[in-house]
Amino acid sequence: MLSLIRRQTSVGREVYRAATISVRNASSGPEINKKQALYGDYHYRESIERGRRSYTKRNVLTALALGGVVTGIYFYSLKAVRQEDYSDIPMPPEPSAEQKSRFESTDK
Amino acid sequence: MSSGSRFVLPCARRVSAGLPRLAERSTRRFISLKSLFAPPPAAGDSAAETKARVLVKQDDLFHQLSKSPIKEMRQKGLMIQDHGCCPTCVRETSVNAGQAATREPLFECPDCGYPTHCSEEHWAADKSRHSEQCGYLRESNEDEHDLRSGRTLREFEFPSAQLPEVVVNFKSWDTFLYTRSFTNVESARAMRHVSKVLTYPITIGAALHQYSPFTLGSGLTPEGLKSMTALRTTIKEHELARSEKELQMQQMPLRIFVLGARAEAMLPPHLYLQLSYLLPHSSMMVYFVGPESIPTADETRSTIAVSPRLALKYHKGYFHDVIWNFAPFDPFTDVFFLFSPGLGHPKGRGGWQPTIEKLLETKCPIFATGFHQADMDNDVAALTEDFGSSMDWLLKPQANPFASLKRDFGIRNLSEWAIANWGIYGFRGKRYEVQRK
Repeated sequence: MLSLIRRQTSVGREVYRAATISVRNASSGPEINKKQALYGDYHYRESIERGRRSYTKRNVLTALALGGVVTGIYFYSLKAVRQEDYSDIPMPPEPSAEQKSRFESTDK
Repeated sequence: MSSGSRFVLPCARRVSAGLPRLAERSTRRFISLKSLFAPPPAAGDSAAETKARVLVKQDDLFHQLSKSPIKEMRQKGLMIQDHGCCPTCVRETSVNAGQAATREPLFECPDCGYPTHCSEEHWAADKSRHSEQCGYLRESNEDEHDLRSGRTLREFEFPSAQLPEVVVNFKSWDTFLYTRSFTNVESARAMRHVSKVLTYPITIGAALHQYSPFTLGSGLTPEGLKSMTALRTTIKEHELARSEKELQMQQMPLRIFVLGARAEAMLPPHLYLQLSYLLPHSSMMVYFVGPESIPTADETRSTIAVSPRLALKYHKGYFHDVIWNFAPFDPFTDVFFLFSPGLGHPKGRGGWQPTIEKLLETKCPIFATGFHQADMDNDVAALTEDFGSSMDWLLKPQANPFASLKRDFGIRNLSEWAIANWGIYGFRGKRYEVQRK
């Protein structure tokens, strides 16, 4: 497939085509494939990182704030329901030793 | 049949839900079944063709100008030697005799390749001053060789329109090129080449677009917001009427006047299509008015219809002479751009004054650029001095995020540099609705 494409495409695009295919074949592991899929056809990585730099700080702060809100809701909810102590439910009587052994043997 | 013979990278297909399928992608080639059985061209032919076309290889772009394989670069070197001056000579002689005498710069700096000084001793003496420009000169050297190297310049294959949901980000060249899917720009050098020509249409687009980088928090004044809101209302009306022919016929096109047009008027018309893609539903006319706006003196005016929505018109002459061709002006549809007008330059100031007077009367927003901080400050000072009391500031003088990324050097003096549209500012004639006694 590689050599076939070299013949069919024009001279000017030859290098580009070969490069993208070799990159695709050489990429090992899911992480590199994922990065390529993230940016699609746009290959100029330094430019993307530079463009994202001005948004990093605000994005991180937003992530922390949202995470904090979620965590706060979680722990508050737990705290709010912790007052339940099941005192209104009558405790059943302690089973005898014979009943305990019977329970354990039938369980297997 | 068609899907079997279409060759598309699978990773591109996976994300195409997010990125648009561009209508005129010239970067994708489809292999048909027929071509699989075509005889391949002889290997020798294509190699010879490559060699004949490419004068300079990508890893060999730096050459001393006098030893360059490209004829134009050698000629440029000779021109600099003819017209330039050696700064060390100038400094030494003006200190001693009060009058600057200089020898021709015949010695080429080994680091940047340009003929900067007359001899090696003078070059060594001036090293600290020259080193400020040396890096940029070398970059310029490599860029110029790259442009003339004969390779296929794929970065100039620009994308076409995109879906309205794919919003363009105007914070910087990086975000702009990514959000507009300029996939052929793959290196810093490509970005420099592209930014040098695109700076004119994209500066206009960035000023007009609703997601402009010029916001109230970053230099736009309340008066500026009023002017831009008027223009953006018109653009929005165009967008709202996109599906109704009767409404479209009633609407006025945007009129963008580029005054004192020189380089920007000589750009290939398809570059201004990039401006049209930023405002996809608006019909617009770009008027290039200026004494140098047409390279040839055959006609006094001509029109190019680039697309159903974009027309370029060229008028040769001073704006204040031809103003009655365009009157009346409407601040809701008209905007003026002056790219590096040199308002404060002693030779240009007198020529610009009558035009600026007329522009202030139209009450339409006017944006002007400068090619570095000193030039912009000079222009702003001259403007304030001449017209300060009858104008409002729309956009405070600031760096333009869509300035060219290349430095241009003067032939006469290589220490003087210019960056196209480095800074931008906006103003407008004062307008009173209530007269107080």
